[in-house]
Amino acid sequence: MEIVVFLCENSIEGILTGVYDAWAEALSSGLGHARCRLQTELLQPELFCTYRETAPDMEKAGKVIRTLRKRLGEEVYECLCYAMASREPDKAEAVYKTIVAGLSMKQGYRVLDKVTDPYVARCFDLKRNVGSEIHRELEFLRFQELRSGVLLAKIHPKNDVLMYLGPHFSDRLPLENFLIYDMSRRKALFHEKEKDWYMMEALELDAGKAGRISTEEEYYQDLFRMFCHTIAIESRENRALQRQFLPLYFRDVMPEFA
Amino acid sequence: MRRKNICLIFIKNVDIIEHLFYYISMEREREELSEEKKTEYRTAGSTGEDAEENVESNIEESIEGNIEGDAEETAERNTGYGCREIEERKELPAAGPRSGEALVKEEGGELPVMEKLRILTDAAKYDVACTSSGVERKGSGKGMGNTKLAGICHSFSADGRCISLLKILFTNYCIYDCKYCVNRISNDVERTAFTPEEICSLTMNFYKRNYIEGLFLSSGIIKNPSYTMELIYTAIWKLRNIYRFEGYIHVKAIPGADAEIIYRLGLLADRMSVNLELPTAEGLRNLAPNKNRTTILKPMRQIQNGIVSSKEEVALYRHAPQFVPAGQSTQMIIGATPESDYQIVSVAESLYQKFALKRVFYSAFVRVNEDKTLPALPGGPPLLREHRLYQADFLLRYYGFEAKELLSEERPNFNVLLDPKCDWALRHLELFPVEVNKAPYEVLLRVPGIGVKSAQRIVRGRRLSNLQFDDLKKIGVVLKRALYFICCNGKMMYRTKIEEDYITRNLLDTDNKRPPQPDIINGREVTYKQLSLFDDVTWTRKKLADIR
Ligand code: SF4
Repeated sequence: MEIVVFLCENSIEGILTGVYDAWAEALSSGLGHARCRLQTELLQPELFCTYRETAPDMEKAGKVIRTLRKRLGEEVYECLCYAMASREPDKAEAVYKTIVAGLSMKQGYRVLDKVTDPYVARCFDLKRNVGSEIHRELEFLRFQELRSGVLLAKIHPKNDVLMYLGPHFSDRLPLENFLIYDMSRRKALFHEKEKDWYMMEALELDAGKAGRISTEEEYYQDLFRMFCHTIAIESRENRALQRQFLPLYFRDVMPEFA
Repeated sequence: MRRKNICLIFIKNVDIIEHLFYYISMEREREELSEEKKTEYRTAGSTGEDAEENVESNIEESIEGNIEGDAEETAERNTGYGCREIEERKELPAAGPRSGEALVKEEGGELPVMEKLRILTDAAKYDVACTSSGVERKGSGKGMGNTKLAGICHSFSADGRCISLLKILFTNYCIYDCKYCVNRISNDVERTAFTPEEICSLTMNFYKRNYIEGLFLSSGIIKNPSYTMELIYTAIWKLRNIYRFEGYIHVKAIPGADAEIIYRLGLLADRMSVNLELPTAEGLRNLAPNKNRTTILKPMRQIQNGIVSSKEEVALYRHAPQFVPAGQSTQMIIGATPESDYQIVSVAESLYQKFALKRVFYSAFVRVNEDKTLPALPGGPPLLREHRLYQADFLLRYYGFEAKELLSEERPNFNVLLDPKCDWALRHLELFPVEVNKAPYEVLLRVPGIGVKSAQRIVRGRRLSNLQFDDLKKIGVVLKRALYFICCNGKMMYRTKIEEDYITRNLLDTDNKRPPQPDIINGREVTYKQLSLFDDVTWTRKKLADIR
């Protein structure tokens, strides 16, 4: 049986465009959704599969977004957004099929309750995973003050969570110029004092300039390191517990562990 | 398919779900950025990063494996304040902060801030409750900071406790002599005090770098409670009004201070707490001669009433000032005095019911002073006991349990091997197994291995389709625990005996909590049923006897 695999760009608008195209194909060709698949990358080509590339198209993605928000509600839409930020290769397929499941229900906003549907369960898993990474970045990300007064944070998240840090930090630091840089994906989130935040891709960080920290920076790092050290109670020491809550993976950017 | 020279702009503020997409060529965007910013932000020379392998935490475990899987999972210890009647009533200065500032000069001293921070952190570290939860507030756009309902931990110290707030004392001078406290007047320790300025700039600079969620300020008592509270007020007033700090602030209310100043401070703080110090009035008499129960409960009641009337006002007038919006908490020391777990849990229960507290914190007693009235603790602070109390506390707050269901006069202490929920279930096997597809939510909550979140998902999921064990696993139920207590569509997961001894043994096996040589306890072989009767207090006593 012939299966059509849509290859889409690995981004929210890419995946949603893919959903749009796959949907159209499933209906028009009479294949049905069962025989359409959505992938962000070409893994191993399989037999009996036709591969089709779809280019991200803002208009199509926008239509899908509007439908999702209207028919499935904000909670489901948010879940899908998180899932699409995942690094897992099967995310596009899980999202696509969850959308199919949701739109086939009368009460689409309840689609996440369909725990018996493997795609929905997968989406939920992905969302949980991404959500917890976002939360960890809110906890463990650290800003350094550069000589120019700009606050710079470098992160290396496993999933593509950078965008989800924007609302939090711009609400919290409205009067600061800050920049969060995703070292793995080479993209950045900017916030200009009293302005909106936005994202940029394909950026390199100038190691020299980014390393020029303000005169006070080291002083506050020292103070905080000393604070963290002093606040621990010796007779309760428990490094394993500390590691459980704060995995080593995050510590390279945290001054208290420098 | 590659997308280059394109960037996304998201409209700020409103949540991610509100975002709008625009395509804009990067070139254009670059032009818009000022020349200076361009060079600042973006250039050549990539930064390599090497990823250490992450220790993925097991979500299923954290949901139910340890009942404290909530954002406030802190477990810490104590200092505290509380006082006798107000000795000398100081004339209150007008609401402004000026007077307080003058007061603090004389205490400030000339130590560098680094030294002060060391001393006043060290003096504050026994205080529990480094949590920043209870209130969701967006920033006004004119200052710095916001607050999140669940709170955020920013680091973890070497003892595994969360660091969420800058937890410091204003000063460690103290006129009182609480036996358990490092700062008591009879101790010969280095003393110092911050100035309000120092507190403000530490808070702002730490916050800006995402080190902390806010400030937790408490203090030893200088001169008298009201005077001390006035100092705290000065610092907090400055922080809120001069520095425009909008993050989380937790302050201690000192028993014996004027109601008026407690009220004023409550309008600036997010959370206030009055320390109960010890579970019973008698314990307090023995270890904290300058404090008494009545003066401690008085401000607690005042804050409770203040919160209620502030909520009513806010309901009427949206912009009415909020009083202690994140609620009130308290803490007590565990193991310095001889109360049983049953007494402690009952005290907590009545604090929740009668004083509407948000949280009660327990702190395993750390023996910092040599004093014959304090118990010796050769095994270190009673951490397991503290842990069990936190678990029980969660059962009271989220799982619908009552203190008298968990313990009784006959069984006054928690089990050393089993958490309180398992322990309860094993003593009520007649209620199990429950049918997952039918049992009411409240009943599901009582099943070991099913937490609040999974119970909710079960209830929502089963409306759409019949659930199987496989689905439960995906939902987050910890099956290796739950399997003894549930069935799906009339069938249990495995053929298993519903028998206390059998289940206890299996549960202890899965948790690897089997004591190394259970059969030698008391010098003879014991069944697991007997084993499950060992509580922490007896167990510790037994171990002590062995040591001797
Ligand atoms: S000695 Fe002073 S600082 Fe210590 S607990 Fe008593 S009142 Fe508080």
